[in-house]
Amino acid sequence: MLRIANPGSDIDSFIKIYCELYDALIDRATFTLDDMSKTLVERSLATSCGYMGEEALIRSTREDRTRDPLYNQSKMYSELFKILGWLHPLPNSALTFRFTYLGAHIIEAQCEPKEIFKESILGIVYPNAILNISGSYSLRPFSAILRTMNSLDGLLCRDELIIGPLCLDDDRDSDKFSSMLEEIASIRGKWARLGKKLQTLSDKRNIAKTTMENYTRFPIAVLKWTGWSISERRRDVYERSVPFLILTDEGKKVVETLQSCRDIRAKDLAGLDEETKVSLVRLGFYQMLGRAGFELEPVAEQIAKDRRHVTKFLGNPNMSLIFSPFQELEPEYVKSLFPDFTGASASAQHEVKTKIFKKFSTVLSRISSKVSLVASNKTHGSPADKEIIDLFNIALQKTKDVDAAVELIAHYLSGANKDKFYPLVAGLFRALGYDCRHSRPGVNYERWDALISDEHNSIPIEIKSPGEEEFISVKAVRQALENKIILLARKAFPTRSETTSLVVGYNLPNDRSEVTSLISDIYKAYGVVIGIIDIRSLLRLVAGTLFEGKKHNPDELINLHGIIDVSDA
Amino acid sequence: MYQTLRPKRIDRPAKSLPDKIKPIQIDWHEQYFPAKITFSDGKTSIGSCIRCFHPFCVEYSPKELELSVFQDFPADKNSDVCPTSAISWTHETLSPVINKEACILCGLCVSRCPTRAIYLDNDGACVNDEPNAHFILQNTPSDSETTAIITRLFQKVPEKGIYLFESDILMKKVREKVEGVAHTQSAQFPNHLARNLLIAVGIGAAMRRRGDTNIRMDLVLGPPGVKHGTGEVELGAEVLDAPRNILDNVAILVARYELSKDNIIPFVVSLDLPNLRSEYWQFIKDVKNVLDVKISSITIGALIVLTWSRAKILIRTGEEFYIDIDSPSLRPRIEKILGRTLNIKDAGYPGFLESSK
Repeated sequence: MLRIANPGSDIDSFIKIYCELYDALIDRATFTLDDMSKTLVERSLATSCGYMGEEALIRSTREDRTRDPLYNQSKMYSELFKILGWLHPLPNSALTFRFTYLGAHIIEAQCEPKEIFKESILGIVYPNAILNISGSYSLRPFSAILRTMNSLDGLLCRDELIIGPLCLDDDRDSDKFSSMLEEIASIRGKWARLGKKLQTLSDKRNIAKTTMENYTRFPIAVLKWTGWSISERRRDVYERSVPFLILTDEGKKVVETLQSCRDIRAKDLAGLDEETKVSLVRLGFYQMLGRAGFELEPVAEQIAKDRRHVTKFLGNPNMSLIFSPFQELEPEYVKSLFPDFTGASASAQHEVKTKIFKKFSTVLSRISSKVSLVASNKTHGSPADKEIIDLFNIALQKTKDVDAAVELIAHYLSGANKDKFYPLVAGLFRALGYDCRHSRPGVNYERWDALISDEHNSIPIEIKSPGEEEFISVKAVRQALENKIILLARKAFPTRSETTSLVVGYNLPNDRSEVTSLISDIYKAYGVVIGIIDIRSLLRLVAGTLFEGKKHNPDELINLHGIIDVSDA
Repeated sequence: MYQTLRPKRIDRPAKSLPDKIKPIQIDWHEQYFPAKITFSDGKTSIGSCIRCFHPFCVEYSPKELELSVFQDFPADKNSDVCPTSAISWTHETLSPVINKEACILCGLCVSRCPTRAIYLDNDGACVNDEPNAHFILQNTPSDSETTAIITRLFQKVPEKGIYLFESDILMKKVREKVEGVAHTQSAQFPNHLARNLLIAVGIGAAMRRRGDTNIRMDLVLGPPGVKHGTGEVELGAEVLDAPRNILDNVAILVARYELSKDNIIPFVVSLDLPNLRSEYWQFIKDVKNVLDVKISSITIGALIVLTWSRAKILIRTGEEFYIDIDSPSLRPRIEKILGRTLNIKDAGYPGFLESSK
């Protein structure tokens, strides 16, 4: 299956980013991914870790570049700009680039880039020498997609796109193309058949279904942005409502154009004499510009000559070509056939020193609050729920170790939905000695999922079961703020503004910096304190209390700010 | 040295005004017709397209999209005036072309035409390109200088009347059109529509770049209409989450820009005001009582009516569009700005003025 990067699905922004990069970097002979990142940040086109400007660069930069968000974002943009033929890698360095002559025409068409963008989209072809991809397959993906839609009643859904045109071996082989169409036609009618086929493909290619779906995001965005298709839910194809891409009249016109053109691939040039080859390259490129509305008069003489040279190969010298040399052929070769448009000399080459190295660890503030378990001679205040004690007893019998038991229970809860998880969380707080009840669904003034009721410091709890979200997110933090506001405003239970509002979820946030930044920002703006507890930490507190004769300081929980850090004193 | 090819362009013959004649009054009396313009010779003509070199009706200039505050906000600087791309002006046509199917009657292009050659009828915007006694066709192509001279003459000319007179039927149609085109547009459409309408009513606005997962707020707002602000835009039921999300926006702006929360105006822009039974209105009041943050609410319909009347908004205290459970109605606010009673019964379309019960 074709793996198409998806740095974002907004095509206007995508083109804008290219134009900004061009404006900033055209005076250099070459540039790197770091130069791209710096430009994106300087021109407010990218952010990192919730920050803008220079701070974004600082927060993004990691020693391990594969984990650097801005670097990866720039890499994804460069991948797409390369397959569109707007950037070329240098022969000796795949991650150093220069702008192409085709890319310069995107800038010329800035106020009306749609047509040249469409041509670049139709020019995408695999394998190609730009991404240094080789292989026995041969695919012009957008031509294949549009022709597939046209042959299948003008519609195609995302999963059909995956199993169909994006997996074709050779879209010019009419037998293979027909058999792909027949397969999709035979799958239609039963949603389960499509799911099964997708699963088989996922297993065979060893690509997760979500990843395959991600590879369709850019193509789908393109199909809609170009006006070649619109999206619409249909019930008449499968037994359920499914979002489909519907081929528009404009899309049908493109299919007609594609069918009337000769689709040239690099391998067709093998064995041709140099004159014919060069003429085909120039003709392919100039025809592309012509269809995109460029004035070809200045090169009319050259085009006439080239047409004569290709008469023998094409049969008809006026044949229209679908062939974008900047997107397929070896970059140095194509560059040598077109004017030097940059004027940049090799001596002008200089890399940007980004000054963004090791500040990351010192700048990033992570809020965490310690809740300590200390030895206690006191007996536990109130008996824990039988269900909670049974749960721990079973786990302890199996593991003979408190930490292992906590892990086993956490594993047991990994698929829990809210009906199971919410009462359990409330039960765990009760086991810690708090008066905690989970809320009844549908009671509007009780927006929290559970509440620790206290004479002075009642605490609303926002719970996220693993069925809802595996990792605690910013959404949960926002809800915790809302819970606190409602509790303070409607005074259903006594509390103080400085008492924490809790979030309890399955795992701590995936991106801790994003969540802790928001907690910190909320505190700075409103003075509201939000604490985050993952299920393992809560289980660990309960296990210490019930089975190790330890206790925690309730004040530490009441004032919890940021992510909980349970320590065993 | 550049040796690239250039896009094809046709010459667009310019139009100019007769010597020493200038416009002195613009009147929008008759519906579905270009504005009637009175000139210094005492005669009148209707507005006609002068084939501007820089098409104001199609594109904002980069300067117009600049915001003097929050300058490092990762803004999507999409310069299209029309959020549905209903207006286009390719190199092959003399004047702008409007696709009425896609036109939502927002009036943005009308508001930007220097000679008031664009007008609204019941189905969408129309362009008058016919020359007349005051808009005289020339043999020379349109250029930036001619455009600038005529545009300057029209600036600050007194203007009376409105582009389109609101009514229940018309506003229902506007809503249907917005809903109808929304699914054919990119995910940025709600933000794009809200940004442009806010700019039209005098509030500086920038919308976030889609795909930037690090920045969650839809809009940041600034002068001239407001000092600092932020916006959440929701055209569907998600509007119920907007107050919660906008508190997140305010917190981020407070922390990043060292502003006081009291100096940031949070704005929720929606297609309909939420239903009275929803928690939205009570929560807005709770937020005011607990955090002293006044969340303003406004609808697309209200912004369109203001645009049709060329009205400008000035937000000083945050009370101007603050409405909550005690009075969930925009009507008095809009009528105060317009200085007249609105020709809308009840709540307007499902709820562009008043929250439905």
